[in-house]
Amino acid sequence: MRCPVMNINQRLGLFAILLGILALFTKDPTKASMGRIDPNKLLLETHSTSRFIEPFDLAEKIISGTQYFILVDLRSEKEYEQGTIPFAINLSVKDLMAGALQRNQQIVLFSDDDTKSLNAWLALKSLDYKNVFILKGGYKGWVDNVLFPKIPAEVSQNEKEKYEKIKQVSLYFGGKPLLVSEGKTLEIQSPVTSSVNTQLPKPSVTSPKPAGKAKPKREGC
Amino acid sequence: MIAPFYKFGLFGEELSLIIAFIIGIGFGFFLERAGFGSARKLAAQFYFYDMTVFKVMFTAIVTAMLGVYFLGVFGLLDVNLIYYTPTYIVPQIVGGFLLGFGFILGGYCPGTSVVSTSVGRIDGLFFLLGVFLGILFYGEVYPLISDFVHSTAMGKQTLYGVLHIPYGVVVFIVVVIAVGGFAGASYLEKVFQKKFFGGAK
Amino acid sequence: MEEEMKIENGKEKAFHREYFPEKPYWNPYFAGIGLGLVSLSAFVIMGRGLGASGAISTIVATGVATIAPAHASGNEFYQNYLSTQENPLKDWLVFEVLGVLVGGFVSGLFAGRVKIKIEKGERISNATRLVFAVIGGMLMGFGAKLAGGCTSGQALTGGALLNLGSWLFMLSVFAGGYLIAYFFRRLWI
Repeated sequence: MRCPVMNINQRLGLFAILLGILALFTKDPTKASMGRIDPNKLLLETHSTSRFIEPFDLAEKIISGTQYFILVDLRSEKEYEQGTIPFAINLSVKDLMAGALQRNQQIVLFSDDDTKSLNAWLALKSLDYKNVFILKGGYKGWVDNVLFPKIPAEVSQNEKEKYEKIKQVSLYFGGKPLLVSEGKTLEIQSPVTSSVNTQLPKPSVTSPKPAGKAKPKREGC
Repeated sequence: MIAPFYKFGLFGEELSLIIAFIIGIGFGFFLERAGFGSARKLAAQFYFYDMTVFKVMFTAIVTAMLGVYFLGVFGLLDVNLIYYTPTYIVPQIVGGFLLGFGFILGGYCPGTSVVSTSVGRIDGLFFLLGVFLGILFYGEVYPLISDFVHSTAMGKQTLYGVLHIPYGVVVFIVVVIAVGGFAGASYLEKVFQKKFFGGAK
Repeated sequence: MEEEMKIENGKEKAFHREYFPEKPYWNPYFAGIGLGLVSLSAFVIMGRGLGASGAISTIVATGVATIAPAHASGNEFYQNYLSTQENPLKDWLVFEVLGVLVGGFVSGLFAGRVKIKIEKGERISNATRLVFAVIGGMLMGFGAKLAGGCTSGQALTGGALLNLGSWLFMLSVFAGGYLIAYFFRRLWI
């Protein structure tokens, strides 16, 4: 199968050059996601609930460690240092607007409450960031639902598995599940501490790091 | 956009390790097919009589570059999600020269020494042993050279970003240089084969 | 051509040679396209590039941590390769390099190139070759860590991504090689 004009190597070279010429006339793929925002679309999105992520779902994502998302703590530096969600980075809305993150990254925002997160969400969306989510209930939601979840003292057989999972997740992040009966905290169930706290324990800054994922995954050599 | 699959959470870490193994098999296979399991073939690059290293490497670079670019253009691959090794200008240039020296003395690079070991080359195994020692030495002196290692840090930098020319134009330039280089390399091979082997090879 | 090879290799003891006569290497452009597609598949599937020296670093760091845990924990470089609880050898690059070992062997086997021997220029002894191999390997191990990657992780991967540092690195490798090639030509020619 010989081509009389060109051998296979020359044909491959020609093909590469043709692709190179084609590249001259195409749009930069790194900027592919930039574009004008349709206000109607944005308005629709602000009404959907899909932009929220439940604290417990976030916890599971962190534990599985397979999903790449950037967790952004919008609170002040001081609050951030006192305690935050593992792997969260501390950025202000101003930092976000200045382009601290890339448009195609999955971003999860949280703050004290949802208002500040909503503002940041809207700001990022207007800049055409694709995957921005808000942690429902903010940091307080994390503390209440993941670190110190309330578990009913009486659990039906069906729900046992579900609550066991909640308990494990809580312990994983260094929290303590609270046993409640008819809305009243009975005792703090903890395998490690012997002292019984009657008050809600403060989340410690030095909460144990999640297993295996102490650092973001190294990708270089 | 659906790629890179891993970063869109399509599968977990366990599966990623299996994929690593399979990709590695492909990597090792083509390296060996190219002749990169042989130190003499590799070192010949630096004596101009066999420019296979240049041809294979730049063909691979051009292939992957065009693939990334056009998959990105068609919206299939999110180029921004690919990991770029951060740039540290001076350490990378110094490291590059050390690699060049190591190549002439040892005849392999870390990847090709693994391949040559797998096909039974004892020199490849000794080279690999040297790489282990070199990295161990680096680790031991790391506290002393840590400042230098992190000097001239520029983060993620690309040719098109630094030169302020469109990505597509850089792709075109690289393709043209590579194809031109291949023709030049073949010419050099002829000249130097005659010089070293009297055309008998 | 193949018949000739068979006769030539008939005396060799390696039994597989009978079934897999030694074949010439591939057209470099075909092998290059193959390598490029493997590299591209790593980008598409994983969003990262290939590597080699990173895997060796992980193994070195794990070794140091096993022998002298306190020493390793005080060193930032080793720590980069050690995760706190998981087995550090459960690493992407480590598995990839294991694959390289298998892939290289399979390719060599089917092409009749698997043999225990020392590759060298005709004018030097085996011992000289091995000593230089170790020295070269050490320089390369050290240099690769300084540069943040080797020919695979920097040149092949970063080259395709048009990474500035990788291109500077690649030019330096070739410059360094050509700079001293003449003085060490005895090793190879």
